[in-house]
This record gives sequence, structure tokens and C-alpha cells, in this order.
Amino acid sequence: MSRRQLYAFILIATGSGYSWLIYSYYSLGNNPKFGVSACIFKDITGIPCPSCGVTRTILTLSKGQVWEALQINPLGILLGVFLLLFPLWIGYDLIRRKSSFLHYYLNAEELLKKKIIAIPAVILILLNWIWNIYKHL
Amino acid sequence: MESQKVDLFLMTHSKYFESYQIPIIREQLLLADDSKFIALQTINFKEPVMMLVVSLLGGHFGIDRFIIGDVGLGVAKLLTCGGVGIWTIVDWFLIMGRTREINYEKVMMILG
Repeated sequence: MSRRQLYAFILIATGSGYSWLIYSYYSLGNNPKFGVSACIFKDITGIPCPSCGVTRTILTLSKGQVWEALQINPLGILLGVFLLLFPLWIGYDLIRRKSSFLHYYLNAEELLKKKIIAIPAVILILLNWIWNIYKHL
Repeated sequence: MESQKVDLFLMTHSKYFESYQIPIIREQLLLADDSKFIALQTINFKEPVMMLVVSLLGGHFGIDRFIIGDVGLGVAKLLTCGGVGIWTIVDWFLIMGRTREINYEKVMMILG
């Protein structure tokens, strides 16, 4: 993937992420238990997917309730950090005409392809998924 | 490389590439020396139709992207419920082309 493609993709993705969050914030109100399901898998099978609940996690996190956010879905915190960090990083790169984000992205991809990291990551995701199903997210 | 060898390689591997890429690969193979042939045989090509099946079954979790090597996009797909379901459906149409593109990149990496 070229630098331009990657940066455009991340900016569009984070932009739609923020739009989704703003929409959810106003549609969910103060009670994050109710809202529109964005997950086709959950709608079809009735079982939550590994990333179900990330919107609720980020919205809870935005109110400063870190412990409550962690109990909904820890993956949401990871996604929240990405949403906050990536546009700033890309903005910095675009202003300075650098490719530091692309460089780190490619390195992270190579790192995640290594079995010693990939296998524990998959196990963690699966454990989190089992926890999600257990919690009826 | 001999043209007989090149044609044999292309005949057995044509399903892994886009049709417009084949003449370019043929040209590059004819220019390359014989030592590259063994390296080419060891490449783990991904089959586009197989990836379509994976995308239909596990696309929601980004498994298709993980397998072809787009790990970053796979993580993004996994963390967003398959891009709120939209990306999952878009990828059913894109994944075969992307698989062929990645196969082409692998060949070009060896041929330089």
C-alpha cells in the first residue's frame, strides 16, 4: 500500500469513526445500554462478535470511566487510542512531509506476522470473545 | 530463462495473476537467470477463489485480510465489526483482485 493510499484510508476511516461516535452519543443519550446494532454478525446469529461493544466502551471512556469501559470491551480502548493518535500522527506527517506513520505501520505489520506475537494475540482475542458472549454484549 | 520453462510456469500459475500482469511477468522471467526459478517455485501463492470463500465465511473478522498479509487492515476490520458490515461486503468483491495483486508483488520482489 502506498503512503497516499494508506493516509487517505486512515483519514476516511477515522472520520467515519468519529461520525459514528457522534451519532451514537446523541442516539444513545446517557444510557449506553440501548442503541442501534452495527454488527451484522450479531443481528444474524444473536452471538456478539469479538468487537461488539467498542462504541459503548469509547463513549464510556469519554466520560472518564476507565474501569467501567474496560469491563465492556477492552478492545474498545485500543480502538479509542488509535482513533485519537492516528489522525494527529498523519497530520504531523503531512505537514512535515515525512513518512514516519507508514514506516511504523509496515513495521507493526511485520511484527504481527511473527508467530510468537500472532498466536498470543489470537488467543487473547478469542478469550475476549468468549467473555463477550458470556456477558451477552 | 528458457522460454519453455517460462511458459510452463505461466501455464500452471496463470490463475494467481490478473491477465494484464502475465505479459509483464513473462518479460521479466525471460530476462531473469535460472537461479530465480527455484525461488519462484517456493513462493506461497494465495488462491483467489479460496480467498473469496474465506472472505464470505470469515470476512467479518478480517480473516481474509490477515491471510493475504494485509495485517493492518485485518486488525482494522476485526476491531470495527467488519467495518460495520459494509467493508465485509465490499471486500467480497475486492478480495480476489487484491489477492492477485499480492501474488504479483511476491513475484516481482524475487525478479527485482
